Amino acid sequence: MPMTAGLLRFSESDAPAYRCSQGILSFRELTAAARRLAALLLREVPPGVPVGIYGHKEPLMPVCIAACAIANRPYLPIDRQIPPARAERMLQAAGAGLLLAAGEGFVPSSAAAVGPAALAETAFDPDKEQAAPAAACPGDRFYLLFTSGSSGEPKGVAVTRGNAASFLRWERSLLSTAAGPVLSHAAYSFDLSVAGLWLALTSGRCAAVLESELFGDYPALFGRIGEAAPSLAVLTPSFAELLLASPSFAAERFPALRELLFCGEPLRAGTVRRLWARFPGIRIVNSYGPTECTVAVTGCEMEEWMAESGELPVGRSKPGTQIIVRDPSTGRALPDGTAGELVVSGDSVTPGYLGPAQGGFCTLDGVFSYRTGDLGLCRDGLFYCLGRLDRQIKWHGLRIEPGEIEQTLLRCRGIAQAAVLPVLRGGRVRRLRAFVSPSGGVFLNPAALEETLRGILPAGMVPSVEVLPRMPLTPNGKCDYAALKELP
Amino acid sequence: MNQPEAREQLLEILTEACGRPKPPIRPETDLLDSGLLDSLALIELLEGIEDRFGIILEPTRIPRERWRSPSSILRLIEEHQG
Repeated sequence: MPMTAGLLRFSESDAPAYRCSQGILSFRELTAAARRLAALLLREVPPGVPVGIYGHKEPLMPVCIAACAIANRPYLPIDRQIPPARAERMLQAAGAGLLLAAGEGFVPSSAAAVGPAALAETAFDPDKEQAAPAAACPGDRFYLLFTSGSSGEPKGVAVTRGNAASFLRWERSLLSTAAGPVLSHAAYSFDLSVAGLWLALTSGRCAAVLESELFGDYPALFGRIGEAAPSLAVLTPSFAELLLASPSFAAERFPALRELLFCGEPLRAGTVRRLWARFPGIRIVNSYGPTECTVAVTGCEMEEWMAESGELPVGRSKPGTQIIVRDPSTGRALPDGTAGELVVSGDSVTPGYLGPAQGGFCTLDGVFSYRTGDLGLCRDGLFYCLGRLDRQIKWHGLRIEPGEIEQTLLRCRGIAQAAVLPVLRGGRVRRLRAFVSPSGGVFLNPAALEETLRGILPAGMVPSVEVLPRMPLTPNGKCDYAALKELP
Repeated sequence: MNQPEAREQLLEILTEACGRPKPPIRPETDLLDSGLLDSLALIELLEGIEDRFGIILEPTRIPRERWRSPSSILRLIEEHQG
């Protein structure tokens, strides 16, 4: 069931559709509010022109998202953790015609904006006109998201309505729970949120969301999860680890929780075993996919033998999607059990980046494909992820190109060289370290540079900065990352 | 374990948990406003306290404010040592 029709069939339902710290919206309230905002979008924004949506988890966020779906205008979610300068660049790169600000904190200069008060006035005024859904084709753009780009500019991914509908249909087939609230912690600028919000809204289930300020506040966090009483949680492995750090994350405290859908990071066997011990019989589904291929393209239920073997698979490929393992140097397809680059084709692959960047999008043997840059292999139809072919890392669920941070540093005055690398602990990224060396005699202040970066990069991408008189180099004159890694 | 030893141990756990930050963590460092004690660091801190002090803390019963600085965490540990 496509998104708009899937949502609007619950227009007459008083069941809860959205639960956040500010309260609950019923399906009736959410759909009516979204249709009032859709009327505004149909008047103010030409067809095909994207609409930015700024905020965090406010009730107006799903209203704005649903309004864009109903009016068939692509939406660009911008979480409040994204600094204004970057948000501005995203709006420009997307060619956004309007910004709907569900939360305070950002007034763009490059696009017209409707602030939270005016939005609420239109959305919740019973006298305002409610728009009927606009005609839409599967090839129309549904949402836009930006990912880190190694050249220094974030890259915009455009996901079509057909991509999203195909993902949601498959996601539903992976799950056993068909009712009960769906818990999500992901920000809307992270596509894991699509797997929670749109699944819930098109299935008559309540989307229960957790604000980021809850993540370090266990009493409040557990209180909110208890109130929401989810049957399904859509989460990253790191978030599960956070919950597991409390002994009370267990079936006794959350008896309704029956299923967990993981995506966004490698899931570890240890995490799965601890979850099974705390929630006997809970169903755990692992999945994998890059934003460029619409949330996820592989998935399967975790079984005892997988946890025992140590390496967890990320699942089988989604119907309609083909994944080949390809030798990154020769381009040849590799046989079962041999590691290579995972290359995706089919109905989950998005049409390409906004703007000229090509990235991993390519045509292989006449088939439009996406080279993921992920190293993986296939065994008996199950795919396994083994890491990255390049320097891309994941931190706080965010995909980060160290090259983007380096390029940003190199644009600061007085920096001759910059190198960014992760500090790993137990195989996990714990922190980012940036090393910079000054150009001829300039004094560099690390604290001031960090402050500058905070104004340009999302909070999760800001490294700690250390100044070196000169960068260590390899014999052939390249930055010696191995030597930097050894610095205390 | 006397108090200076306990403080030393705690600072070691925090230094590792927060990824050896610079400048180094001091007893009055604000771990929350600085963003040093993010969710992953908090998990490591809980594990570290269990390993080195033999105390299992139930984080859902601990208000967020009590994680603010090494000194306030030290008081928390002392209370649980009874």
